[in-house]
Amino acid sequence: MSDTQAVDTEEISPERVTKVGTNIGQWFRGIAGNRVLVYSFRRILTIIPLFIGISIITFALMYMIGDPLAYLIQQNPHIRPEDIDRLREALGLGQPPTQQYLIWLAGFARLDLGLTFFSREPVLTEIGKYLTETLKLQSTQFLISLVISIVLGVLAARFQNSWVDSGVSALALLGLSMPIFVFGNLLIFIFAGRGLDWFPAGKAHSTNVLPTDWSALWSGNIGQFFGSFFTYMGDTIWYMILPVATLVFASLALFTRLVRGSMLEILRQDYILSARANGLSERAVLISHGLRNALLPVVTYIGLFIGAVLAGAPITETVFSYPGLGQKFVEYVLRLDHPLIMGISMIITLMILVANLLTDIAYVWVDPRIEL
Amino acid sequence: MATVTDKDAKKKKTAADLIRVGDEAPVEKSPSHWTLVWRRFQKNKLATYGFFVIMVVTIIAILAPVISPNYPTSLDPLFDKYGGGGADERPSLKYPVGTDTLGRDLLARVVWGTKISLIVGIVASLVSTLIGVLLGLLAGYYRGLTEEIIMRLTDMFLAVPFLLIAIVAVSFLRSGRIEFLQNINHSTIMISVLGLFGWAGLARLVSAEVRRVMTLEYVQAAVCLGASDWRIITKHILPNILAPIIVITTLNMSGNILAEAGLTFLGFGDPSTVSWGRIVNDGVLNLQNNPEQVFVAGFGIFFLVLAFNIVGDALRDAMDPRLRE
Repeated sequence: MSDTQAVDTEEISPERVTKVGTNIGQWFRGIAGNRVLVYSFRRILTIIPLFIGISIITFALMYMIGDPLAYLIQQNPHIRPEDIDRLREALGLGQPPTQQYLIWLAGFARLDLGLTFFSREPVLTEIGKYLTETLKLQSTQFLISLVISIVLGVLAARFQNSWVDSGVSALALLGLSMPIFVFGNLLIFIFAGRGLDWFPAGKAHSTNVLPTDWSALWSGNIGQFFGSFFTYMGDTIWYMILPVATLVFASLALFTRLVRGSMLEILRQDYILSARANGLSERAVLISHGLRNALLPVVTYIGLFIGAVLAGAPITETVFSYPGLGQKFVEYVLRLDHPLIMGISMIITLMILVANLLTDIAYVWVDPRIEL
Repeated sequence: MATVTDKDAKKKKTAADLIRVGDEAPVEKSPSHWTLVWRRFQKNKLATYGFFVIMVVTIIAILAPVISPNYPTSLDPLFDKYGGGGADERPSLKYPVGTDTLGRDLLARVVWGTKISLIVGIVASLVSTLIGVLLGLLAGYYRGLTEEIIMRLTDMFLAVPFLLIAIVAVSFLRSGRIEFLQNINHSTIMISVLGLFGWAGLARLVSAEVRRVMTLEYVQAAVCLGASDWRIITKHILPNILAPIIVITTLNMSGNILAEAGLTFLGFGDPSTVSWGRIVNDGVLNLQNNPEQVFVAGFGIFFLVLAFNIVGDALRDAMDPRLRE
């Protein structure tokens, strides 16, 4: 790659430089020569069949669970057969399954996920409501566990085979082995309810705290705005502490092991030895020479774990009855709300695919040695 | 010095043996690879603990009908004997771990529940290992179109949001919509779902390992000598990539135990089957009054999974000391 670039720079003459803006062929060649762009384009194309494959599996499994109308019919014994047929047509359940799937896929391409069976609201608004809560939880836990795991991992690698290392490894082992619902319940038992009663045991907000009053900001009533803002923020954080602690405990183990392993590998390199030999401080060696290089594989792996992180949400959210995507998914599978099941699972799939894509692209971008 | 002669003669004989060509081989054989692995594994104190826990749980699972004090689904089985009992009983001499909301003996339920966790954890990871190794070998050995198809399939299964699809799949298998699936039991459902969705990572690893091993000289030599594909795969490739496969299978077992417990905890298992996730699910509503209803089975899962993780880590250290970090 670098060879061709070197040749290119030699060939550039003043007249050619002026032509670049006008010549479409040259412009196109410039695009085609940009390895990151080409790679991204190729990877984006591979996402589409993956997405379609997963959606076919999900739809087939979901379709075969049962008839969404059975519950309704059971609830209302006086419903007439023609009403059932009418309802079936109205909900789009009249067509054969292949056609239903194609209609859903075409809708997804237009960002129209249909209406839910029960509340008859657009699926996207329904999902948006829960997605904010889930993302709030997940991004907070992600940042916290990343920071803690980097500190712990670097310490464990620096003091390898000491008590620090054993302690960190033991913590990681505990985190890997602890079922997330048992740890969540343990936290509830200790810190909520009849335990210490420091934090609420469930839900995301107090019922008596109103959301932030944004209209007060526009009307110039700054005091009222900040008052409601901080009350709401405090309330949110108060409710988030236990779920976030549960999630951090679970993902800390994975991240710490990664950071430690990658850091140990880097600390064995020659340039670390030469940095030490040059008399750099331990901090400079660890942070600017060690950690910066060790984080590269960590970032890639973490991108791959995002799927596990997002899919792990249902259990935590159920334990804390947190109104997030995962808990709602569990609820809607039991109710067989087809548009919502498809919507939630495919949006999470898409997020996983995009996260994998971004990590791959970032990896290619950062490390020029990777051949495409 | 008559006594010394025996020993000297023996010494001389062995030394001479080593020099002479065509005589019998020296008695002392160098230890095989697996002996070395076993020795290194035994040196690991923690691994002995993990192995011990797994053995104890296995024995409990096998002997459950014998050692369990009561039948796990009978309501207040000791109703007539002694005082006390009933629903939500705290631990007592009558019921050592108490009873659940329906008055069933929790100790009996926990003892009977070991079976499901063990069987699902072990068999599901064996199933996914079988699929993963088979597809990985095919992809890595035959390359070309086969590899392309299998690798795209692997990519797809790696991107699946596992828990969500597993929830849908378990609901489907339990619904009994298809006739021959109607009498399928809880552990079979869990094994098939966890097995069918858990092989992708292993397949990718195996195919990469096969590609690496294929470039080595002894495999090239076997190819040149005209060995059949089957012989090359089973005699030359498979033994050399066995270590990571065994390690990942062991670590998968802990993951599968957790996944089964998680799915049953969410209420997607069979409600009439006694399993640890189910016990926790039943006890959650009584968390504040009867914490033992949640934590006895919950910490049972924890210790079993911990044991599998420890054994997996120890196996990894023993099989390939370079992987230790």
